[in-house]
Amino acid sequence: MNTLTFEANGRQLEAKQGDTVLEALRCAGISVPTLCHIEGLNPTGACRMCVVEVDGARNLVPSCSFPVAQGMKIKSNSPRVLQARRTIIELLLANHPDDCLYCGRSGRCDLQSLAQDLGVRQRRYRGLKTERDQDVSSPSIVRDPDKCVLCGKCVRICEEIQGVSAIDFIGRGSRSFVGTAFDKGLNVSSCINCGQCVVACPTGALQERSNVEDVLRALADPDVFVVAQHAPAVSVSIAEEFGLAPGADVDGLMVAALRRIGFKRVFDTSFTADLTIMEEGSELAHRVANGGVLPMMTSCSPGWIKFVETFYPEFRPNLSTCKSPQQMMGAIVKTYFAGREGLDPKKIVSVSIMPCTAKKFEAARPEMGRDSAQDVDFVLTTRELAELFRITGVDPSTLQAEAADTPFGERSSAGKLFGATGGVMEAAVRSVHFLLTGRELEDPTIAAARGLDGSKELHVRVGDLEVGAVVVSSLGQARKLLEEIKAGGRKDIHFIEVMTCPGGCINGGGQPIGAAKDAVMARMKALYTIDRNAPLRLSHRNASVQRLYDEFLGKPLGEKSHHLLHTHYQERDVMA
Amino acid sequence: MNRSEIEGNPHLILEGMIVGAYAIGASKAVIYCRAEYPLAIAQLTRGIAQAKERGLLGDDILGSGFSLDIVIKQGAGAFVCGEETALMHSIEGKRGMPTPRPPFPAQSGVFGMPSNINNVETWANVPLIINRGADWFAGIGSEKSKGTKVFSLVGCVNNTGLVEVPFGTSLRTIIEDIGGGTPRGRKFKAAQMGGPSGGCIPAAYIDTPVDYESVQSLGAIVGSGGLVVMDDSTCMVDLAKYFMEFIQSESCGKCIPCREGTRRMKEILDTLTRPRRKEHDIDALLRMQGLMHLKDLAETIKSTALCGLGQTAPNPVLSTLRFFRDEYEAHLYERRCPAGSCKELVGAPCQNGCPVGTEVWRYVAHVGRGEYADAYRVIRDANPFPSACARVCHHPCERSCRAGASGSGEPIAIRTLKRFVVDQVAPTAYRPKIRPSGPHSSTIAVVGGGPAGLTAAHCLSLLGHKVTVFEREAKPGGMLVGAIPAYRLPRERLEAEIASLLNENMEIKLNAALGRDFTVDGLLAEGYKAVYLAIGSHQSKMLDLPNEDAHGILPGISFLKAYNLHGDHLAKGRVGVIGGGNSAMDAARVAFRQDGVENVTMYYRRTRDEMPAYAEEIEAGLAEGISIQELVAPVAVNSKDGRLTGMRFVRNRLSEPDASGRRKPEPIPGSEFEVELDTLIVAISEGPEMAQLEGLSLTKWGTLAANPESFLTSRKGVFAGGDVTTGPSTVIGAIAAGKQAAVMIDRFVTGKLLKIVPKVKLPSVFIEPAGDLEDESTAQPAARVTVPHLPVERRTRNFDEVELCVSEAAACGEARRCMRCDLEFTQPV
Repeated sequence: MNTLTFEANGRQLEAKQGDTVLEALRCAGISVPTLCHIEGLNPTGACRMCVVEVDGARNLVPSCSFPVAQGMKIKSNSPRVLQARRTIIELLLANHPDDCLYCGRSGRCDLQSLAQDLGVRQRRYRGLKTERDQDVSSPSIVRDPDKCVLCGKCVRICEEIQGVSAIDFIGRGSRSFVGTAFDKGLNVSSCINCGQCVVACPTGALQERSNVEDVLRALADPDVFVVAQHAPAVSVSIAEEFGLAPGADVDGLMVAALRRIGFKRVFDTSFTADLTIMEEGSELAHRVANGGVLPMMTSCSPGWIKFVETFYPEFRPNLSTCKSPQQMMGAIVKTYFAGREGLDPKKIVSVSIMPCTAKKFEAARPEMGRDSAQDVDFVLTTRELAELFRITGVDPSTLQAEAADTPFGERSSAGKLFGATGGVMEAAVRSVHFLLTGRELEDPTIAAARGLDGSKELHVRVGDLEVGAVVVSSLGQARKLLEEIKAGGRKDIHFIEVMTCPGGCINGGGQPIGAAKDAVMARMKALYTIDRNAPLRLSHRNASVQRLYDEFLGKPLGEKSHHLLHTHYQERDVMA
Repeated sequence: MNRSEIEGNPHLILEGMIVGAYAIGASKAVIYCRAEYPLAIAQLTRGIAQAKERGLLGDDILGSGFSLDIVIKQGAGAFVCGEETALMHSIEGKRGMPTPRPPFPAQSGVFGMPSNINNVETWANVPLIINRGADWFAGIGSEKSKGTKVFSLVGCVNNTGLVEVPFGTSLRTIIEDIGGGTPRGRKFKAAQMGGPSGGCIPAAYIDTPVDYESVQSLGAIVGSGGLVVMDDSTCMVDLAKYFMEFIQSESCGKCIPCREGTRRMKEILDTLTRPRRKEHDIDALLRMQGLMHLKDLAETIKSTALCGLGQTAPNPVLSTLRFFRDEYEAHLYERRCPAGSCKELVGAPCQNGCPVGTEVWRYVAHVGRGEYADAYRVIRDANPFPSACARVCHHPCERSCRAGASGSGEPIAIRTLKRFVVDQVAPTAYRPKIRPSGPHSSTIAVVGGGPAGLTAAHCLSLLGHKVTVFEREAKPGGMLVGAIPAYRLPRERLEAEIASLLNENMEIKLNAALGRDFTVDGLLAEGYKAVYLAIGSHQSKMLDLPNEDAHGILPGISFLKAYNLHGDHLAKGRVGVIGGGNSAMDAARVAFRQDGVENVTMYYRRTRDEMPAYAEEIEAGLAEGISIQELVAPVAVNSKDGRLTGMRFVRNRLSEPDASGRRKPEPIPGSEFEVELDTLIVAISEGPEMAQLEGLSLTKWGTLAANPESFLTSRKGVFAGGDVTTGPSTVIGAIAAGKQAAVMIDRFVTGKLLKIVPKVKLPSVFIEPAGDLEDESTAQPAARVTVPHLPVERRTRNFDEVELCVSEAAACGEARRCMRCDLEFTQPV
């Protein structure tokens, strides 16, 4: 790799050839603020926050898109630079609602912190503010265009990472805004509710549709029995909301905290992840054995499901008919558990805690319930759970760890792996191998399925069959794969795991704001550590799951399973 | 511009592109053209088909092995798509938004391919350069800007259209010679070059050679060749506002400085042009703060915006701020739009144009309704000299009248309507309210009984002060009686008008001359609390030639006063008048009416078009038989025995323009000629009589110095106004000075701060329009009323009033021609 030298703020520094000025400066530990920069994507140069002074250039230079050059002389904090950055922030503030005190993103808002950091203390520019209605049509995401700074990150994430393009810029000049096709509600758009835009948004313009108040109301209601389930990725990320290092697993503390604020039972969604493996593994085995539609595709990620229904309805038969772990839990809580405890299902409020905004949409799907009630009543994101803890004044870090409740508290670490890309694959391979051959894998760790790569491939020998499997995360990657298959390629694949968000649920749209790639990596490693140290690493060895089959469900793919644990998909006709 | 090239000669562009593609090895070419130009697209399509037919385009062109395909991409007209990266994204079918460079188009352009992107005009030049050679092309234009440039010449210029000139051609050539100058005799003010991203070049730089460097050094750009000519009715703040409005709605909205910044700049400009009445919340604060931030903001946008559009977006503001800061300040501090263009500060332009703020629209409306007494009251409320002004005012109201501002329309004949009103209503019909005397009352001396002095005295008397006017001559009226001849202003009219101004608080002492009969010190010692000096400019400037004291050479004002005040006929035989102003014209016409005068010739150093005298006066004088010699200057006095025998003149030509943009006359060597004369009247200019102003500070032009806001001279309690401070000026200007001085003197004697906050005067009284309202779309344009004059044969040798009054029907018709700009501001009650 060629290096070059350049000067920044009077210091001689080295940089990699081909790096941008921004990369070079940040490598050298010089901080440069940005609003629109997304690591790994082409710079758009929209926010102009990263401008620096370069010797010989007439205007200020956007460091995000300008390549560093040998001998370049840069000033990253000259008065002219600081004045420009401050003016830009002031201009944004001049068109921003002054309601930080009421804003869900206060304290985690890039605009707010930049204004603080740059020392904006005076209101120099005033004038008309753009006023547009909030879009509260989506069950997952609330858009508040007034708080939008038009950095375009959501647009690029939606288009370039997710391949969805539900939103884009509309209009010109100061009247431009980000909106859906024909400026309709998000609910009738092609949005798949993944919430990646929410995580990318520097301000409060995009936030999850909050169910915190609903849950508080339920918890305060003496007539109802409130049950929680928490997804595998939540326990390894919520710690960040309380100032702990990314990757800390606070599973037990979280369970304790949930009990403190009034949840009558706390279940682990990883339990139903194990259950999913039983059903889905059996389904795959069945399809392979009976010439069913292949490749089979996982169905636990609700964004992905809506994506297929919207953009690739022809692939619906490829989707596993299994409900997601959340919905399986929802279904058995209001049936098996209710019966076991002698509870009226109508009196049960089932709350799930998910790293995901699309889960809110999934829980609300009409087919996900019985007797005119939804199986899962409210979905809280990781962020909302943290808020719930703060509102109720419960600090998990001060508690003693507690175990989840029976009968859905036991889980294998395979179920826990569902939280990261490749995790479903890894769990499935472990169990399918057993289901098809009756033998366990020598080493349950499937290295090829691990890591943050957007697309991973593995071939596993299962008896006589060479099983081809692909793991993709992000819908951009999924789209690429589907196009290949559509074009007649990839006949070698039997099984595809798709997670909507890049990296899987650990990087979900409901996760703590502001996580860098390192933090996501740490969350992933935490899952792997849990798996390494777990006494129970195989879904089909989960005794509680087996008991559930024995006592209630019968067998995988059986009659009860069919009714409770499997679903169907619909084609969606939206403006896409 | 490009459209005309495409529509007129698409082959030229195609040829240029084929040559260019061959040179750089391109296999695909795209012409990006607005879909709104269907003819251009049709022509290009035809051209491409023809080129393909003849094997000049397509595969293996002329057997060369080189292939090129040219396609047309129709874009929806977006200003930002003129920016190359935005244009390329538009070609790709994406939203036309720029992306940062690098990568440059040559590295990664359309669809990620290396691309070369050029303007139509550039491509159109290629075949010519290839055919004739680079040297030929480089031979045209200026040192650094080669070739020619097509400009779209529009705005306040007689010949609009596309103009192709070599680089280096002066702006003056383009505007004056090619464009035929500004219409309706208005003054060229500035040229906006380079469209909304460009800047303005003020009149002082009209001789700038138009090339990239010179234009850029003035903060404008050549750009696509937009050249908007603006005259003095264009407000530069309004212009900046217009462009900011355009830019902020055409900004693509991508980068923050351009999207948010241009909008705030526009808002700041809005606050400057909005009257306080319409301000709400903290607008006034914003206005003051805004101007402070305007420049900062502009600089930030310029240095941080993503693309060329944003980086040049503040140019209209920066360049108008650079050259016309005074206009910004007038809007900001005085709440006044000097060009009379910002509607909300101007109200009705006629009222705004009147130095005394007469509600012109209001009395015109009354005339249209037949309410002449009401009309008179409106006039008289603002102006104590309706009758004089109805005859001799230079009517700036008509100049600002919107009926004459656009198209071929003519302004309302406002002065003619005023004349009609004063002929219907006697001055005595107006009874002003006099504030009763009280503790606030003071005694005030006004020196000079001309329009400024009488107005100040009258206004002060109405405020309850005891005012004494000291007039040197035996008749009051100043220049109105001394200089303006009776055929323009009948004496009985003037006398009646002056008489109507008198009341128990105001007396006039005649034959009382400052310096001779009394002094300022004496007046103050006598107990006058304030003195207003309005002694005018009565000292004619002379030629500064030997022998100019010869008998027969007369200063213009002395000549006029001798006749007007004393009936002395001083002109004899062949009369020459030197000068081109109103005094010269009056002198010429008065001389022509005197017994024993054979002929009268005026000698003027510039051309007739540049004569400061009113056009109608010049017309009337010529009609009566006066001749004018233009472009001549006196060089010697010929005399015999101390008596004038004639003059020696030299012919002038107009030189290159000076810093003010005026072309100075310069003598043509060897063109001297002699003229025999019996009388020479010198009426080139006048100044105050210095001797009377002893002990007071003077300006560098030799006029009396007075604070422009308080009208206070260098001496406490002594105020001044009118011609003594300005030099020879207009009647209405003197009346305005008197009115303003009265306000300040009143504040002075009552112990108030000598400062008033400027107020925007907007029409506030609703007057029902008269007559049938015509449908605007079908109404025929009505011609301006023509004013009847006494036939030449009945007026040349007497002092009967030359200008006659129009008929009632004509007056009503003319009044109803008014566009009633006031209605925009008033509501029916």
